[in-house]
Amino acid sequence: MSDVAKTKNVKKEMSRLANFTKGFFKENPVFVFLLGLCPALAVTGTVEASLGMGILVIFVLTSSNVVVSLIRKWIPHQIRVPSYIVIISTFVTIVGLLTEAYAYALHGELGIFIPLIVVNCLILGRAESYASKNKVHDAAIDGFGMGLGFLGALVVIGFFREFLSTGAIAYGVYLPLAETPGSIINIDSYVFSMDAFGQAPGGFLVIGLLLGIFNFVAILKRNKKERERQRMIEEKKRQALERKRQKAKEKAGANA
Amino acid sequence: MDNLLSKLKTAAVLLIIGAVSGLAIFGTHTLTEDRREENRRMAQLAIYLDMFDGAVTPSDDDIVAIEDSSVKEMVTMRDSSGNILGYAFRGEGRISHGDITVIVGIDLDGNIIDVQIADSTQTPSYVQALRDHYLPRLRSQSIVAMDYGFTDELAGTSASAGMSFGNVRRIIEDARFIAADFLSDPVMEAYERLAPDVASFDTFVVFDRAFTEEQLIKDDDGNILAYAYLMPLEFDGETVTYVAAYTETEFIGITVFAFDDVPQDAIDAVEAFEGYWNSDFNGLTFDVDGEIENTIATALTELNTFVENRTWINANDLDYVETRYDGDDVSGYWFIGRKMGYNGVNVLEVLLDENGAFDHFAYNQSPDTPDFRNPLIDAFGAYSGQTEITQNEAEDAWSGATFTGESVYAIISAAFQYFADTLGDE
Repeated sequence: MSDVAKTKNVKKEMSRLANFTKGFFKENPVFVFLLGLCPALAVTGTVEASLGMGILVIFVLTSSNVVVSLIRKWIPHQIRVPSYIVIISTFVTIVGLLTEAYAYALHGELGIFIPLIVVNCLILGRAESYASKNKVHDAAIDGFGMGLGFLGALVVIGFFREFLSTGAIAYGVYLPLAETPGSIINIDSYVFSMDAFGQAPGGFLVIGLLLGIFNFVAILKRNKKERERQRMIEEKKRQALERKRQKAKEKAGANA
Repeated sequence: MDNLLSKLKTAAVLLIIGAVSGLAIFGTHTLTEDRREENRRMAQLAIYLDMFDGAVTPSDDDIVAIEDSSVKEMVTMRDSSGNILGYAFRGEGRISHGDITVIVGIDLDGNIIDVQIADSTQTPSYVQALRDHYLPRLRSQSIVAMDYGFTDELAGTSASAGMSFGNVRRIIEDARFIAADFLSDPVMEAYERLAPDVASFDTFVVFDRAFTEEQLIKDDDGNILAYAYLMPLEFDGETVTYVAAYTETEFIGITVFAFDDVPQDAIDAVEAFEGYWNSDFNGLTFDVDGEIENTIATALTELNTFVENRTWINANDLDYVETRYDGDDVSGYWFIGRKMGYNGVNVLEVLLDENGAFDHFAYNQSPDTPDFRNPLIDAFGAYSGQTEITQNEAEDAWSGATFTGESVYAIISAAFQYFADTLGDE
């Protein structure tokens, strides 16, 4: 394989890695694009419920991205959105049935929010903006990566909400993570029994605080980048000035 | 031609996507059907076992399917020796915003052990409000004297929460009737003494008098057999509920809800009225001896006077009118009517004075949202003294409460009409 081909492959791999990881932080659906906030508020009372919802969304998002990408060339432009919705709702129905069959407790906990995955803007958004314009494997990577970013966001929100409202992080209640339910943290203190965090107002509060932190970090990064850019400009200016002076000196020496 | 082909292609693509989607869903549904059903059964079984201490998994013989009722299944719960601990009822309800499955546990003394929502696709916040605040208060209540309280305390005092509650209440009511066949039920036994073919009873009108409730006693086909009136009377600190029944022409008789804590002399007192059973109620007076008997006779006389002065209408949303007297002179007309509001049937009381002028209206029973219905009492109070209310004139009164307001307007208008057609000439 030639060096050019090798470089191309490496670039491709890098690009795929970037495609996969962009949903984690840079284009996180919840904290950056504010998509899918309905489940992010409604089912993040516990880490396990958040994890469950995240897994379902990953399944639906990846599957719908793959199918949309597969048939993108056959779908007439004017019916693309209804077609995407039919595809998405099919996967949501399937995932609902599977959850009821294999994770009944999770099905009971998520309830109406499973069928509501159909109207999650993230899923339709990725189908329209990415899967319909890219190849199948890229669409699958995009769906899986964005889904993981969504899951991560839900789990972080769920962690704070559950911990602040109960002082514990339980497992094995809704998902088959253990034979008997247990908890990884359990602090018995009135400080960590703020019921409001387990309810809707707590969801708004936690998402608001996390959004604030996310934006604060983003601003710090942007400022740092900007300072770096300014420093480089200054450095280039200084180097140019130095070269100019050098040239002027050389010219003066030659004239003398 | 190209345009036609393009449209055909569009239709074909949609058809194929729809067909493949349908097949995928059908396949998954079929493959998971048994497992989902099993999960539901296991979840319900867990609730049954949780409700009844010491219960073992019921055998197939202990599970009876119920038809033509919101209750779909009755399970006899037994301990490991086979002794019956009580009965569990699984009921299902459906409203515009989803389905609900409710399990009601009743012990052998006829008390509610627990009411639990096993499954629901209804609005989660309303269902949670029921779980947290409403269902716990039903525990330990006797099925023969259920006090449901008010749904107004539910989240948002909204009609939607009331509709979810309506499902639960319907299921409990059906469970009560089914359970009554298996348990000793002083209420049903009392009604059977008055009307042997009784199969069910419904609250019709409530009163704030010596008699507190009028109930329709019905047979299996839903035909009205009698009108029963509850008369709670107090003897030595104990409340004893007597029940008198009437047809539209006769006094059927009087009996008592003979609960365990009712003193024997309070039960025996009704024997003094046996001579009056099945007689024309017009001009009926009760001549009895004894303190308890006289107390009963006083309440019964007040009831009999009401029945004498009541005229059945059964038309134009009106049930009946009671002519009220001040001495020998007519002092007013008290109408009872019922009309669909926003969240169910509103039962209204309308009082017209002797000249047919509007005095006031009141809610006898109303499932509508309190924040909408209550301001209407004052709003319509502004029309006191009028003999007519036009809808335009009253429109402001039900701004934001259209259905509730229109039900009030309809009953008041019907009362005016009835007065003009029938009572005004008397």
